[in-house]
Amino acid sequence: MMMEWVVPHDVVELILERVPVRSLLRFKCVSKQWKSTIESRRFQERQLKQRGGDPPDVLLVSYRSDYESLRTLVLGSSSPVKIPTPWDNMEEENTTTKKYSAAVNSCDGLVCLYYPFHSEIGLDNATTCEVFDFSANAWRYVTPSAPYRVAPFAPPVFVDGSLHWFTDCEETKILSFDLHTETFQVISKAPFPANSHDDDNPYGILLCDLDNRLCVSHKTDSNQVIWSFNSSNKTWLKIFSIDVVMTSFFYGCPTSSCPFAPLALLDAENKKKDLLFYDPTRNKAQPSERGIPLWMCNDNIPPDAVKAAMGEIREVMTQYASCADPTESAARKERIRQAEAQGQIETSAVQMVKASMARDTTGPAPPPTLATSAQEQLPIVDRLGPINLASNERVPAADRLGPLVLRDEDEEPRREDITMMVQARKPGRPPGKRKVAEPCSNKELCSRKRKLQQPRPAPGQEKTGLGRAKQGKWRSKAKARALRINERSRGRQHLR
Amino acid sequence: MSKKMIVLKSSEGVSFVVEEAVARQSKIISFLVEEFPDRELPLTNMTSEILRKTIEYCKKHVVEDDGGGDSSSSSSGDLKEWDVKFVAEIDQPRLMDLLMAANYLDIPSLLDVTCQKVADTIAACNDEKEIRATFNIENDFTEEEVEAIRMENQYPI
Repeated sequence: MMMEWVVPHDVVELILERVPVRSLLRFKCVSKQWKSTIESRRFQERQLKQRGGDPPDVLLVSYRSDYESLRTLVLGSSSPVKIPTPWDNMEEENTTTKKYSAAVNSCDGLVCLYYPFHSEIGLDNATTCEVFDFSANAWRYVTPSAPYRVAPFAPPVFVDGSLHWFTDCEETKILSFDLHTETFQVISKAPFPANSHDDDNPYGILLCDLDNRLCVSHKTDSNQVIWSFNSSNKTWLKIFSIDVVMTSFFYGCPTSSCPFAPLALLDAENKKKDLLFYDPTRNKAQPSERGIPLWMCNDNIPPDAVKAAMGEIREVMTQYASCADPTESAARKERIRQAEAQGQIETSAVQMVKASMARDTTGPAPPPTLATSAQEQLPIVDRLGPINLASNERVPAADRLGPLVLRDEDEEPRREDITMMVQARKPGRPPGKRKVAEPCSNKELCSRKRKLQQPRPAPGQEKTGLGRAKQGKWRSKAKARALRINERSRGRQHLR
Repeated sequence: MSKKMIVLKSSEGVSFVVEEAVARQSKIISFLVEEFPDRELPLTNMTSEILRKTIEYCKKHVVEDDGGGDSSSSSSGDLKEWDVKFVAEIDQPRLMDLLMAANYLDIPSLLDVTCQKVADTIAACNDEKEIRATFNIENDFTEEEVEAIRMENQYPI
């Protein structure tokens, strides 16, 4: 049957976007127009997006692979996915051959595996760089060589066809190496401090890849700032600023001198983005749960604890809403109302409980400890460690806050500490920048004041935080992702 | 509260009276209603059958959109099921007509389900001749060129 009309090509493209890759390859021979469409980069990007390429599937490849098989963390799945590798079947005594390394991050969905002495790209601490040419089967030097030494403390980060390193020089610079043209480039005029990766604290700054953009995660005293690099106009944009103290309280992230390594940006409501982190310290403590972020733990949550946590959040919210300026006050109330409507409060409460439970799993009999603590309604100060008031200097957040773990044996002395601290503290001068509208008269309120200083994201700015990612959305896509992983791992094996 | 009704006219001249909220899911109709209130809207490139189907889809979806916030999560699953059944019942030529209607009227959700259904059909199809027939496309390749493209895709994926 012949039809009189022809489907417009933009509609054809809409349909083809939803067709799996294998069928697309087969139907390149339908017509020249179809072939050119299917082969075009623009279409391929749209197709990838349509077929669930966003948010990213593989976020993390475990690289402590000397004793463990290769694993990836998949959004929507609560457990890491194991990628089959040829050495899984190797005999145990053959451990020397098992000593391989994997690239920390994935490049365009492919995970690069290499044996230490047969690596594809070698960059030593001097300025020379060698590239292994597969066609010639030999190493050759890249000329001109890198203008700077690269900082040895971090592996390179692959973004948009280039590998990136920090340079090992006075001013903070980033060296990029384009894998296609094999040329070095230097990105300078970085807005983060020059000495942020000096010898004292080489881990205060790290590179990462968010939404295919080179990003720098930079830890200052109490804030974690994430800069995103716009490669078209060579500028840095501050995309996130996280109050580490507040975040660690609400979401149970450990405060340490290292900046968090952001893994991905997730689409959230209202065109906002959620930032997903991976907690390396937890990883170290509990290797069995490698790759599972805190909020993915599937524990039984005591409802009492959630209720208590919600009560605490509401209290904070109420204080947050009381503001001298009536317009601002109304705006804040509206924000709270929205947060409540979207279930953010409950999510946060569950998150708080999960976080403290996750921490408690190291200690004996965790759930009872938590349940009693929730019923007793411990003030926050009891849960946080003592605050160092002795010095006037800015103290790193890690030093100011102790672990969130509640241990019975040291609870008593700590509480005394806190009481002293609260009395000694001057109420008028909070360490944060945000002004608190109402001075607190009551001692307990003073102790809670720190909560208020969390810099609320200005309207229109991105949201930060872990717990707000929508798990339901992930779950719905889980099936499709598992399939994609298979395809990818197969692609990797083929490549190898 | 009386609901405002608008009249849509198919290519055969059959009039369909629909609630404004139902019709407004089409961005084009939404625009036309604002520009020309209280007028019949002629949709000359749509047959009554396709228009009826389109309205059926819009009616289903507008009811679900009005539902309470609590039930939305469960009903969205039902709605998806309904969508799948809805497109499964339509034969291929009419599905293409419906897709074109969704494209013309600019109803994103309907365009999405119809595109997905057509894409699934394509994925299940083994013969490019069928595809050409469905899309009314002329083969502008020579035998040799087709063979070359096939050879290109020989490697395992």
